[in-house]
Amino acid sequence: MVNGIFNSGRASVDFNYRPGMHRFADPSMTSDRIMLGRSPGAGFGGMYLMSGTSEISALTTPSQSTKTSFDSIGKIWINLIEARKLLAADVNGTSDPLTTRVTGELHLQLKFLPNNARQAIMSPITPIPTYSDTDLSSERSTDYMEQVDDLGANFSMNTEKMLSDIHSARYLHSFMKEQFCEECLEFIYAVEQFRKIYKNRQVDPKELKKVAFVVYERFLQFGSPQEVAIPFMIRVELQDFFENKLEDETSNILSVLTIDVFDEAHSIILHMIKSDIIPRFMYSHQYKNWSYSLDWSLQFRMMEEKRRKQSLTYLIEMMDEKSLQFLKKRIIERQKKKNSSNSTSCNSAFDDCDSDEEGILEELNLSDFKSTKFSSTQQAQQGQQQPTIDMGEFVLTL
Amino acid sequence: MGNIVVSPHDKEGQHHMMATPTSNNPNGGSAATAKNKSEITVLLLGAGESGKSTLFKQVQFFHGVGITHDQERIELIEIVRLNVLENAKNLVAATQHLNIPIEQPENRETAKLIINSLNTNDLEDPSWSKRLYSLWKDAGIQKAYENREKFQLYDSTEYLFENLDRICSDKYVPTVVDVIRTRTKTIGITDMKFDVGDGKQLRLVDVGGQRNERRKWIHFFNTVDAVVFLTSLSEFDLNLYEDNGYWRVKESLRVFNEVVNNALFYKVPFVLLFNKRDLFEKKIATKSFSKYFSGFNEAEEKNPVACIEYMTKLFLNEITEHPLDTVSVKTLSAIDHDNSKQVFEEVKQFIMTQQHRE
Repeated sequence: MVNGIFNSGRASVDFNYRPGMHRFADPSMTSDRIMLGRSPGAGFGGMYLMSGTSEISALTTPSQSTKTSFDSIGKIWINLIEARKLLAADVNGTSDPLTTRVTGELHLQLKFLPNNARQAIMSPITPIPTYSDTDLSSERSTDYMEQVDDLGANFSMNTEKMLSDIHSARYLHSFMKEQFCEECLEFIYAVEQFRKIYKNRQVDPKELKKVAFVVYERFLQFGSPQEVAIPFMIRVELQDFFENKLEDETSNILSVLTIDVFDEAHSIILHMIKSDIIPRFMYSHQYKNWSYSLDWSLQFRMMEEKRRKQSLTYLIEMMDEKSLQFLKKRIIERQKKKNSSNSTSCNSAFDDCDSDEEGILEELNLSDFKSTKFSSTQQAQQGQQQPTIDMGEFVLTL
Repeated sequence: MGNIVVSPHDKEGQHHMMATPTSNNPNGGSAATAKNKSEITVLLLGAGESGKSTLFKQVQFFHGVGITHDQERIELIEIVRLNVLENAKNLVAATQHLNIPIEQPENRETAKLIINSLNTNDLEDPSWSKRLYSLWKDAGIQKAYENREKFQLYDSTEYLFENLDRICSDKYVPTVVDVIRTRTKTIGITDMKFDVGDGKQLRLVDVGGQRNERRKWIHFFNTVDAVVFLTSLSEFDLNLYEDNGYWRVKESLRVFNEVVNNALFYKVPFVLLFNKRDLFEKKIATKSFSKYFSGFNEAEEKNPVACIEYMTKLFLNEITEHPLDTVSVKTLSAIDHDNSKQVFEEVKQFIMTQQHRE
């Protein structure tokens, strides 16, 4: 799996650093709805996400009714899950540069491709599962830990890995734009898009031919608008191929146009990026910002990891004493209600609230917390035996 | 010597900047008034492989930027090794192209591996040093090397192969010379700044020289205070990388004509540097210079001074608009540290005096 953790040579993991530049560009997730903040003085675990301040005050004001308090927790929780998905997509670089705006202001949008070709492909990069469809098994977490170890052990930079991650590539792209050589990177992405379209069997060969021509006319033709520096012989071969062979071919396009048509040029340009631009890039402020962002994404991943294991604990940590008491009471109430499920004497308001809770509790995925590891660490931390509430499907230690 | 300006992004001073990236805003120095300019922008121009980046690296080096530190050079190991592989690949491909067989069977095996699977990490193994060296010494490869004007090969090939025992080792740290001799095709535009006294800064701009790169030069033409045009003396028997049917000298003359007669540069001091003097002297000892220049007296062709004089005339003839008294001509061997330092000092002095006169 291509993943978003890279070996940044100068990535010193500073857990107190949080770049202020990082922001959400998704219009549905404006900053007033979801705020990314951290409590002053709190350690790494203290980073939290919350929905508007009014709901926070609902948690902490004693005069509020306990019912509102619980509803607020629910709302926060739902927002947390939304924000988490969004952030995970952003940090993993899975957001599709062609369709969404999650990754930030700069997109390597290749607008020159025809519209239907754009639909035929998802993204120029290898798709990585988003948080929602990531398997939460321990397999991934060991994989993750290996990557973290790798980060410490191996400081060399992997250009291919970097280019496969849109979040990182945009730093390189911004640097290259400043140095007037962005066409090389755009060429790399264009070829990768072409390969992707080629692999998609449903694409009409004529459409494919059009895409190949677009790439050729933009980057490879003599005097093309974004001409890249490839050796003469290769350029002549390509010219011959496109202007004589392919132009005349109408019946059996796929027999002439193969997937490796741009391979030589691609590897030469990739080599140039590696040997000329990357060494320069490593002294640029974009590189620095990138490595900070990786630090930050590393932090985020660790937070993700922690939260995946302790998500309910995390929520509980955020609560004040009163809400905690309420939650305990509420759970016991639920338990009682479940036991007397045949009873019909329930008021409608209570029912509504119940259905709300069901939704939240499904999202919580509490089956994780059956694990003895979890309870034992909790006990060790707390130093004393806590009352255990058995809720049938799961065991919750408070 | 001046201090290196550290960019605002490098406050901790942990990293010595290889190039101090400044915003490549074409109006970069426009804050200063035209009369009292604090920044002097010097463009390094020239066709491909004329040595612009080599001179740029030398200037960085004697200003203590970047590659002076072991730590910085370690990061360039891969680049040096990529260069070795690229050279080896080019040579092997040339033997096929020129129909010269590689003689020893074990060298043919090595050649196959180089073309198909070898990557830079393999070169950590010292056994590769012997194999590559034996390939280099193979009669077929040597014959192809002698005919190197027929294909594209870097000037540093011989140097790199002679130093394989150092490069193919897990303890390898590139030396300054290694880094300077490493050929990388510059893409785009990069620059560095350093102080030159009187509160003035010199901003040296390095560009790519291939045809497709030249259209980017225009971004800097407005703000330029001096132009250093490089041309390679040793290119008289070579054709272009981007057009194999085009003679390099012709291309250099064409580019020089376009640049020197550009209306934007009328009042700008202009330096013409004939680079690769060392290589040129070696080359004319074995190759006929007059074969390429019909107007040149054949009897003088082994005399480098006469040849350079002829080349100078050839280039100065191209000047139709630019006032000749603001043009200076020098020869240079950019891979030689002392020579490039001296020449660069002279160039700097020339530019400063011209500025002052203005």
